[in-house]
Amino acid sequence: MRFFDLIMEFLESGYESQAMNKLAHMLCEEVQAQSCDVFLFEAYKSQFRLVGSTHGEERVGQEKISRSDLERLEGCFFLEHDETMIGAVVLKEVKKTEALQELLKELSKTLWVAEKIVSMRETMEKYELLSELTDVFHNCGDPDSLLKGTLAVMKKALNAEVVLYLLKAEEGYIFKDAEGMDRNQLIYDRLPSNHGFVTKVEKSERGVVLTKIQLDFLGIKVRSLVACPARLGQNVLGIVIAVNKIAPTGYRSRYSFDELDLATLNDMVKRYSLAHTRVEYQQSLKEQIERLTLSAKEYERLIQQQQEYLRKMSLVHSLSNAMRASYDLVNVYKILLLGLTSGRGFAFNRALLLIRDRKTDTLVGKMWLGPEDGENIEEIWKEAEKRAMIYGDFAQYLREEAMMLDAKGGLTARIDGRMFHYKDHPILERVVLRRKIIHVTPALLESFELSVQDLVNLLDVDEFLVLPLVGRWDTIGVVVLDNKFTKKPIGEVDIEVLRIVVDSAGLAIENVMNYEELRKKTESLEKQKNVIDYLHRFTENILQNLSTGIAVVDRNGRIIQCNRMFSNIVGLPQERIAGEHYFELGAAFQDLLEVAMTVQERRETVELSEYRIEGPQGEIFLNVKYSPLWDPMNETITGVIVTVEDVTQKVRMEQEQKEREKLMLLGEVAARVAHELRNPITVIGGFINRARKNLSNTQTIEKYLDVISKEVENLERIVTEILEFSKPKSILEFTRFDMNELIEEVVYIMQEKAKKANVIIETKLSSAAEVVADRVKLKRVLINLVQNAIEASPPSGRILIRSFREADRVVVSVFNTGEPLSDKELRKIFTPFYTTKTQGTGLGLAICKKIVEDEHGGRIWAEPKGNGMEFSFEIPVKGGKEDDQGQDTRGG
Amino acid sequence: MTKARILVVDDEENIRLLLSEELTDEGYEVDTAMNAEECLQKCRQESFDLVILDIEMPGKNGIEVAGELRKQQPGLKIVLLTAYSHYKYDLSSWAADAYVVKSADLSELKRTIEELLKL
Repeated sequence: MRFFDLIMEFLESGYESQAMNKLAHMLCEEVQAQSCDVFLFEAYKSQFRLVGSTHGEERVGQEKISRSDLERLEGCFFLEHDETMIGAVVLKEVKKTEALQELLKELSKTLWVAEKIVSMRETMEKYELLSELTDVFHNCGDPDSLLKGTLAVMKKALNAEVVLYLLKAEEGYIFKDAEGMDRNQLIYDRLPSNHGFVTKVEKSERGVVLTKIQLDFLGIKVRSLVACPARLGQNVLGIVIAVNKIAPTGYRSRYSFDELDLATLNDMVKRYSLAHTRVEYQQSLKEQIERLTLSAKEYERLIQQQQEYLRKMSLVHSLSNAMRASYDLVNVYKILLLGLTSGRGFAFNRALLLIRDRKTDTLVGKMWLGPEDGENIEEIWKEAEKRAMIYGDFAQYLREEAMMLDAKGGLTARIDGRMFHYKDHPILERVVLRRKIIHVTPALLESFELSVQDLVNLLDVDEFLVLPLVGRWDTIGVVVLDNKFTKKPIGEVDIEVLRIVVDSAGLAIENVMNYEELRKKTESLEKQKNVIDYLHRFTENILQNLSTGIAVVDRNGRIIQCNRMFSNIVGLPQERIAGEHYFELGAAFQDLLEVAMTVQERRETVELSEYRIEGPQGEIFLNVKYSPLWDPMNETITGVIVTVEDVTQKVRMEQEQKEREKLMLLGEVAARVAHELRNPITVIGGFINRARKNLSNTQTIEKYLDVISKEVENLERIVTEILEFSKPKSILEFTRFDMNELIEEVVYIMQEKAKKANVIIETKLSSAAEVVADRVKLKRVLINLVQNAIEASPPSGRILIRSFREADRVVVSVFNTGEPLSDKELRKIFTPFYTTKTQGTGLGLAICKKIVEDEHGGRIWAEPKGNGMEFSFEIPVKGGKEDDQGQDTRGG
Repeated sequence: MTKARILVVDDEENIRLLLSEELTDEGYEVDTAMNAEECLQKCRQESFDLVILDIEMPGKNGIEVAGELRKQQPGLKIVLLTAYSHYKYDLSSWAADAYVVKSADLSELKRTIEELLKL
């Protein structure tokens, strides 16, 4: 073991240690040789290097010699152990040859052991490095530090100047990291996939060992390198390149990278690949976990926020419910303000309610809830809280608390009825007109200065909230909230929720307002309805009990309404009439109501009098009036009011009256007839008696016979006239003729008589006097009138006959100068047998009346006129009334 | 004994003729008038014991005349002679002393006159 320390020293410290020279000297001494050279075999070059010498120190480390050359040298002994060439010794002039063999054997063994130790130490170092690598793998949680750590270990393990890592990406390779060099020593940091070097490395199974090549992307002189692809299965992750092996301090048999280094690198890269994958996996796992944790936290926060929001929304809901459940305005106000101030609610210290008055553009103070001053606040609130907690349902609490709450005193008294003008008010105008919620802060107040002094004076706080109560269409009021006593700042989240509260409150209040209005309207409508009902019943009563039948017929001829009397007249129950078409009322009434339809067209009132109907109960007479029913709105006719008066009784009475009058007249006539007859009969009878007494005196008898025959003639005339008058109407012969012509004719006939009486007849005739009438009868009338006129005229009297047309009638008048008749006489002149003359039966005018009125449907009358009397008659141009003609035919 | 004087008033000429002849035959002095005016005039100018008045006459009727005559001469006997029987029931006709319906048989009239003049 004499050599061991020296050999170890050499292996560890190299040539500078002079250890092998010392060994050479030691060998010389042992075998007493002249000189000694020690060579070590460098297997990878198959050469022997001089590592120690007793002479020519300058050659040590430099001189290399092949085996064959060495064999030729004298005194050369090869050092072998276990059939492994280790080195050689050249000893010159050995004197102690007996010790030589033993010595060489010892030396060989020692060299072999020493090298083994060094190699083992290196291996150990490598394993230590590998464990260091494992530590790196363990300790590095992220790919970057893993790479960094790995490269550092690799650099150390391989004794490389530089270790760098190119990461495989889709488009090629990217420089990722390096140990032992700066990034700026890199010429390119990206290599294309088809780059020769990387392609070669990628394709190699285990990697490559190269010496003396230049890499185009590195600004470093490369003496040797090892490069190895990092693979995971078939995928290449990247390439690790170790450049330039650093010479160790001690002697080594090799100085550039060799297969051993490649194996080392390969092994490390493989481990790295795995570790990288694991780290990447871990990394992503960690990231996932972190992300999940973050999300969980975020969710938790959101849930909390949501819960808080829900709680507030539940408040809003309860508040809304409570407000909606009330129909009393003051109660709704109370509920709203309670909800805003209650500890279970929004917990504001005070809440003020102002309601908008559009007419005056003001907000009017309605209610203000909260403690009046700071005294006993805690207790008051605690009490309120206690009360609130009794109720499970907040809405119920609000409702019941509102019922009990007396909101008239306290703060309310300060603002009740007080008006705040919102126009041009910097806060209120925005709230009312623009529906903004304004959070008034001290800073904001400062900017407003005096213009909001009214609110500040009232509230005596420098932070408050002003919220609009918005109804369906517009702002209906304002709520002001503050925390005067607790001074708690007003949060932003609350404002959002409060917006919902005031919106809901606005609608609720508006609803109640509308409800109240509606209720009032309904009440007044109900009152009106009662009055209308009363009036309706009243009028209906009157209508139903009227002795006049009334029916309303619509445009289509349907009977809308009728009263009891109408139904009596028609002979059908009211319910059978109302709603029916008038066709349903039977033929007789159908004609009657047909007129109503014409009234609608002509738009004027029509009256029928004593209209005869063959009704269900026999003949009836009706006075009927048709009045258009105007629609007051658009002045159209919506129907016709038919008023029907049953005048049957009256007509019957009149008929009876006439009958009676006729009878009376008949009596009178009979008396008159008797009178008229009695005179001649008295005379005739009287003279016959006298004749009987004076039968002998023929002269007297002759005189008596004259008188008698005259009286008989008289009798005959009277009988003829009476017969004529009392005859029922004769058959008339209607012809068309000119009335003027007839007048001329009569004047001609009467001219003789007029002259005798010294009376002048004049005429004044109009042109259109054509009529359809019985000419003969009218001639009689005219003659009679003219005759009367002549007889009534004083001597030198004057008669004027006129004719003229009046509407559809022709009027003829005969005027005579002479004594006008008294009223009494006028009333009687048309009565039969009335006369003012000594001559005549007094039937003349009665017959005239009969001809004109009964037979021609005209009219005859007498009236005093000027200095005389005028008799006139008129007849229709077209031959009298139709029904009169009908009666004529019946009569005939 | 002087003859009683009778005035016959009637618008019918033949009645006047008949009555004046008959009553003259009976021994009365008879005068006639054809209407109320003539009658009243004659009554004012002459004195009559009895007046026979027709009722239906133009102008004033017999009943009216009777009323006037009654005022003028309360003692004058008045007989209404008429073709009508219904005037009997007219109160105003009661101004007359008698009411006789015209008839060819003049005996009733004569008896009435005789009775009235006896008184």
